[in-house]
Amino acid sequence: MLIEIVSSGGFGGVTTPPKKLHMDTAATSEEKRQAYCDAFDPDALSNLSLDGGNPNAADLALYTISVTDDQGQEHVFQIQEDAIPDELLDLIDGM
Amino acid sequence: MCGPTPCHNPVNCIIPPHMLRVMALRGDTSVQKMAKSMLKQNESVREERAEHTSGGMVPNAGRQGAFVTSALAFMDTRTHTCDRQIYDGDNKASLPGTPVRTEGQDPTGDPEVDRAYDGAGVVFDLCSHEFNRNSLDGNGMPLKATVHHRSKYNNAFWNGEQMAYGDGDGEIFQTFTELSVIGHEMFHGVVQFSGGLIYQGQSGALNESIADVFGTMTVQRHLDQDVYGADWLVGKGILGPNINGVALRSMKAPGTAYSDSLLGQDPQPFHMDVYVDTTSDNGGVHINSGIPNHAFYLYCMYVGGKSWEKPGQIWYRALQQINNPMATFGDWAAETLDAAIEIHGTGSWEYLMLRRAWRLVGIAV
Repeated sequence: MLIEIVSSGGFGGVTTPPKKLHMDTAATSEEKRQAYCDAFDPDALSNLSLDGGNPNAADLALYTISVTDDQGQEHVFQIQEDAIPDELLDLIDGM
Repeated sequence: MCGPTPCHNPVNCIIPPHMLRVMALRGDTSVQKMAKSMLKQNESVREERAEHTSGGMVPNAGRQGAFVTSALAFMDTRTHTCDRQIYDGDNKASLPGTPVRTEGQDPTGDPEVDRAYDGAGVVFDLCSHEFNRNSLDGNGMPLKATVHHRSKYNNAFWNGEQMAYGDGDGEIFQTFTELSVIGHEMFHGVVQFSGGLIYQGQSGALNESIADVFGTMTVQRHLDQDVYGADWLVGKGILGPNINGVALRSMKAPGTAYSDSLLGQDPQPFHMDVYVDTTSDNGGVHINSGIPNHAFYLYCMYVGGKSWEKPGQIWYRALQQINNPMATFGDWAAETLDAAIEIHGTGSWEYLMLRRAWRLVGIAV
């Protein structure tokens, strides 16, 4: 599985350069691979993308997450920061 | 009404998208959930409609009534009680984190914690003494803030309930607990509890501008600066040490806060002629806010004195009365003029100068 994450926006708006992360789970340990595959499961991300986040929030970042599964199919999701579970955000910060 | 395909949800068809957006903004948890769900279901329909409308914005022809918060019920500032609650996020995403300083406790020695605490107090004092507002919601809401949010996090935000400040990565940003930033985030809360402005397009840029206006006002009042002595910068000193810039935004000269090889040029316009049409950044909410920001600055230059006096009173009253979450720049300008008339009278110098300030940024009202 290939994972690409681009975060943009926030208090600085377009000032803040998009933060880009790239991960090939094949290049990680078996333990990490399973953790990433679970966390970035396209079905789960699809559900998160349906949650628009809190409409009263301001200055949050927008995450564009692309997942290419083992069959080579790419799934792209746009998710507001506050719709992403804390554990997944911590995982992203650690990538 | 629903087109050729059968409609399975009559409510979905009856409630127009702009009403759903307001319900998503102002409703309780269950109403928000319902409205957001409907908005998602209608996404394709809305996109189709958007091609034939002006971006979902509705014109506000004159006064449509006032949205007066419970803040106005508290007439005696002695009844206002500041309740600061500062948390340490320990560089994790979970909010609010571990409590590290509450109201009345001594400084911790952690600069981020103590700046968040002190800054929240300065903003509370501005709200209470200048606008007779008891905290962000007008009803004594605790001021909850988390510092050290996430790891090397280049952001600060208001999440609808509290403020959160990252530490920055040390390269692009080096802190977010600067007073104008704290004021900015907290006034997103004031906007929310004053009826709200939908965070998209012009209403979103107004939300951002109001946060900038009162963020810089917080700094000016703290330093007891008049409008001519102020720097009118938002986020002064938060950029990394090697970034070529003085701040994140300039209300005096939008578009000039920074010019850097990594960040590029500050994109803020100062006039409607150079309004930026974009889909990024929620329709340029942090970009086009430069236009109403500059109008406020120009008005302050005309009337002089302190920004929290005549200009601030007009802006605050307009915020309490606008009652239009989808307000355009023109709607907002008209509301500030109505507020100027209420405070200073029709044809007053204050009114005429305000009208001139709006016209100078390309908004003819």
